Amino acid sequence: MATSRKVTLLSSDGESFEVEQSVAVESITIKDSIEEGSAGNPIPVPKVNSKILAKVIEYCKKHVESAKAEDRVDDEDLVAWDADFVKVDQATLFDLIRAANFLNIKSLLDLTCQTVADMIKGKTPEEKRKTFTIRNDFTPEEEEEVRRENQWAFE
Amino acid sequence: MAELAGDLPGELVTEILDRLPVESLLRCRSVSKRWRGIIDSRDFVRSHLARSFESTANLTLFFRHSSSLYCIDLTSLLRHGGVAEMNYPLMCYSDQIRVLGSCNGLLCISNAADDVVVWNPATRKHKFLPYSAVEVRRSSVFSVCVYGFGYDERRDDYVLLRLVQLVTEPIESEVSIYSLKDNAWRRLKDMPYSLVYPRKMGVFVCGHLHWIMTRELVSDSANLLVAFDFRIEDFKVVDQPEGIDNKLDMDLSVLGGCLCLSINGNHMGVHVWIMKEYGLRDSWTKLFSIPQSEVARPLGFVRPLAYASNGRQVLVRQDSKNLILYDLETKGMERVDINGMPNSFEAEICLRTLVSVDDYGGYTKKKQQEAEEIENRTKR
Repeated sequence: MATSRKVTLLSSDGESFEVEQSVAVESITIKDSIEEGSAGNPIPVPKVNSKILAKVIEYCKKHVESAKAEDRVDDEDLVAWDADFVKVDQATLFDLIRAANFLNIKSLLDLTCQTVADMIKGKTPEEKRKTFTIRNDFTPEEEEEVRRENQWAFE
Repeated sequence: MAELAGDLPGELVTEILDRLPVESLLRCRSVSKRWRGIIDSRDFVRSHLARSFESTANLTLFFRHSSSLYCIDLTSLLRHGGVAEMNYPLMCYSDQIRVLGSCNGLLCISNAADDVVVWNPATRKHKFLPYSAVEVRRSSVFSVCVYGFGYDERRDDYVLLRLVQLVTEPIESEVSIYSLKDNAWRRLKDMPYSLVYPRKMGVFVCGHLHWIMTRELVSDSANLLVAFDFRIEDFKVVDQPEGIDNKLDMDLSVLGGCLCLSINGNHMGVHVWIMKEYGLRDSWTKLFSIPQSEVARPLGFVRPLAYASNGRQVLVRQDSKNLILYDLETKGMERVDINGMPNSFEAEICLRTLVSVDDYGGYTKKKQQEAEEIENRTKR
């Protein structure tokens, strides 16, 4: 009955997206606000711009569709689809993490965080700082000492 | 538009770091003070540990052969990688070392002089245990000494249980427990049963340490599955699967967090049972069987070590000489040959975690201070 209900999502930069409710409620945040009746129509999604929201919706659509399919074969296809989905530039990847966190979409958060983790696994500390645009607040002596505490891990 | 990644809030940095293996995390400590703070924090160690249980990607297999310790990552093993010899923080006096147990990434080992060390091989930190004399020894009397290493969730403490048993009449026993947090040994009351196997260490599952014991140390006595419960600091009997012959040779192990019982029967081969829900007799399920031709008799055994291929296969140690992969679906067995493997060995599976061996000092002191404050307040 409620399967073909549609909702409209409004991105932070004012673009509207009409989606099936079953897709929108992949986000626990949206699901909760719909159930509480506080959602309004269209549902505003602050902090997430149209480019990212479009990607998030694409992800949710695919996952909702796959859940309906019976074949186990789809599992491997889904994994491959997910792998392609995260082949984006770094800035977009971090935006997806933020969006998945804000919208509370656990599987997307898992996917994106795991992707970043895999990406930085083999990197040097300097490369990691670049990825996360972090300033090195160790003095050279302090950094040397921290390195020495786990010297073998650097070899 | 797109915010800088550097503005990623702490909780999201933690979500990402949580998914890194220990080695990467040790390197990440030198990225920034904030990252070092996150990685060293107890909360992070705890969440990283919790996540480790869900994957098989951070398990190390340790092999002990006389006084040498070798290790290999489980994933590498399944891809035919080679073992590496591992230096351990104990004097071995060219004699045997013993692996007493492992839990949450901590390995407990001892040498011929009974020095015991708790060691995290992934972070390379270790802690020596204080010496504790055995009180019940009598000269020229044969005694048995086994250990069990586990985690007491209620106290957030790692404990080592030592069971000493004199096996000549009158049979006496001595049970002592070491707490990592208190860094002290305590004597507990004697155990009401006798150990059946003189060299088997306790198996830790669900807050309990398990051994095969018996009421009377006579031949043909029934084997009991006995658990030491950390909460009540006492022993109790655990239900075995229904209908099995409890006079046959038995071996305990843990697989995927569940207790396993291997039974070596007369000509019927070895049956391996798994208790899917701890404490529930009906949850005992026969996992697989290996024909008699594949195991030595007597005392030949089959010990499951870890799941592989998403639970479809089980890595099994067979008779201290072989590693085999048993396929639960096809029921086929495949020998696993590894470069550099010793001819005979004991095997222990160990997680790779950040769990610390020595950050309890400050914690205990703080608790002591708080307890004293409360006492002073109630006195007034």
